[in-house]
Amino acid sequence: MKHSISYYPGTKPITILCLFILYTPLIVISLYSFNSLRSITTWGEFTFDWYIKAFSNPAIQNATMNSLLIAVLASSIATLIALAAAMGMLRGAPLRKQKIVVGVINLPLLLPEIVVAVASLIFFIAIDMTLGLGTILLAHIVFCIPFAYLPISTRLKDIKQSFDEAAYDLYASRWQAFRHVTLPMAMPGIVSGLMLAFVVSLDDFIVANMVAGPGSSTLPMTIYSMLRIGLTPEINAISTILLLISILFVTASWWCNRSSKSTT
Amino acid sequence: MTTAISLKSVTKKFKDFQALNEISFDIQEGEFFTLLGPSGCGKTTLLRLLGGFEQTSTGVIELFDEKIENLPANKRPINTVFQHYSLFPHLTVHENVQFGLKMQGVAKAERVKRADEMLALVQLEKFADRKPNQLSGGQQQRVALARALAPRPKLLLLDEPLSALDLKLRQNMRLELKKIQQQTGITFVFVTHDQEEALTMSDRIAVMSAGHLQQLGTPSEIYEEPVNEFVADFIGETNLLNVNVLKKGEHSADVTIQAYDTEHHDSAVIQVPYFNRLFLGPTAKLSIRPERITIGPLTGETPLTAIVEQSIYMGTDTQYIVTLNTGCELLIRSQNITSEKKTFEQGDKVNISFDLSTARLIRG
Repeated sequence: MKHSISYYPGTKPITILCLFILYTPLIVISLYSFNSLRSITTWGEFTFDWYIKAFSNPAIQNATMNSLLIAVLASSIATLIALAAAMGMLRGAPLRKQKIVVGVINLPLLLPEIVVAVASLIFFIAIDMTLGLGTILLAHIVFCIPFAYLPISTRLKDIKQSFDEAAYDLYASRWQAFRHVTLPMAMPGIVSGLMLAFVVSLDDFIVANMVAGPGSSTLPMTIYSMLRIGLTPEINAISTILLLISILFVTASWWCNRSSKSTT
Repeated sequence: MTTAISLKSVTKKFKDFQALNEISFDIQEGEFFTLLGPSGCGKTTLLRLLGGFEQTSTGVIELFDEKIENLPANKRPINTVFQHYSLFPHLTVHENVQFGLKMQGVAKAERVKRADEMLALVQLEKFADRKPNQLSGGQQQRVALARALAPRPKLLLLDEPLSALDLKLRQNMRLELKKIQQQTGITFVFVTHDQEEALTMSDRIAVMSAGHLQQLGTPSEIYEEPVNEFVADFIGETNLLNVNVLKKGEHSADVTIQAYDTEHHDSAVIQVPYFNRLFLGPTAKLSIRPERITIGPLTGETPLTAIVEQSIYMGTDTQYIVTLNTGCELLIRSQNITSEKKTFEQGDKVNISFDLSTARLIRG
């Protein structure tokens, strides 16, 4: 007999406790980003000043542009690579060591980020690459691939091969079958993967911090360096915006995948 | 008549499994041709070879005298109605029907016109802008048909297209498919395991089993003159009795129905027609359709007497299972022509007779 989880005693208090620990700091930061006082303990009045101030800060402006540029490029390129990989894994003849290949594609999910960061740094230095936005971009592409790969491959698995056969039967070439049938049918998975990769790249601090060169700060790096001077309401404001973007994209990614389920 | 498809010694092997064995036959232009057989008989494999989804191992397939066995599916002027339709879920009904024409590079205006015509043919004009998942199973089936017909293929393949529909709809679709086939004049190759479907729709039927072609003929040939036990048993219901061949004439033979066990005796000699090679001795079977047997009250000495084991009222018919005086069981179906017609009950002794010209001797 299966019970709903609420059947077990203590579910409610534990749930509330977990939610409280997880989200209270976030809610406090968000709320106090609208506080007119610099304090994070006393409330003055409601204001958008800190947002305006944050956005007029040239360092933050610059970092935001860097972050967006890297996130857009890294997630797009990673999604393309992930799509190609998923097509190869799921639509091609099975490889001899298919499981190992899939494992390698998804390895960055399991590796400690600091290891990836240090390894990337050593690698870039070894091949004599100038550290900067380019190196951040390369590193981000690599670790974004599995985040894009998972939803795409899940989606492709759900598309029966018989749709390809129907397309070939109706005179489509292999490219036309991909372009007119597989690609549009896989689109929810692709968009979902793209958004997930975008958020992962946008939020990354450890890898970016390690392989960035002078003058190529991303938003999380800038927030971190501002923190060393002290917690300011500006940081609250920027953090709140990052948080909102992340929630938005993750929700949209989830929603894309969910709404696509009904079409198969 | 022109030959649409010609199969010459076609075989197909999957690793160690011989799916098709030296299949050779012709399909005429404009024919409604059915591949019939139980699952695993190779009928779907043969259809996939025709469609270009599988490669022949050996043999030649000709479409209007052109070899096509090495052409990929998208280069063959052959379209398929798939078992689960495989309608593209992201396209509307109209776009689905246009798909083949679009891939062929037909101009948009022409494409739209042809798709409109096809949707009119299957009576789905009103649903043109819907997505496939907003349609019922029967409607999806029609869209699949319209989509496959739109490029005007030289051959249309149908892979058990009615199996996913419920009974009533299936019966309607049979008539409609046949009508559309006659209207368009396109050669249809229809795959099914349902013998009733095959008999009602086809011009000719190829009965297949275990990768071999068993018999090829019109529905009545297949039903009336089955060449072997498999065909007799698979098409319709039949009684197969072991017989002892005593004497062979030119078209008929003298036989006795063998006793079921040692407690019984062989029946008296009866004369039955045969169409195939036959050997003397206990080498043959007699196939008698249940509806061709007459059951009547016991009157004096006749070759076949029996005891009723079971009597089942089925509305249009009454079905009897009787045990012959030779010990074997026989299935009999007798039509309920009048409502007060006398029926027989369990334990009744009855007389069995059949028009000998409707019985068939088959090599066992």
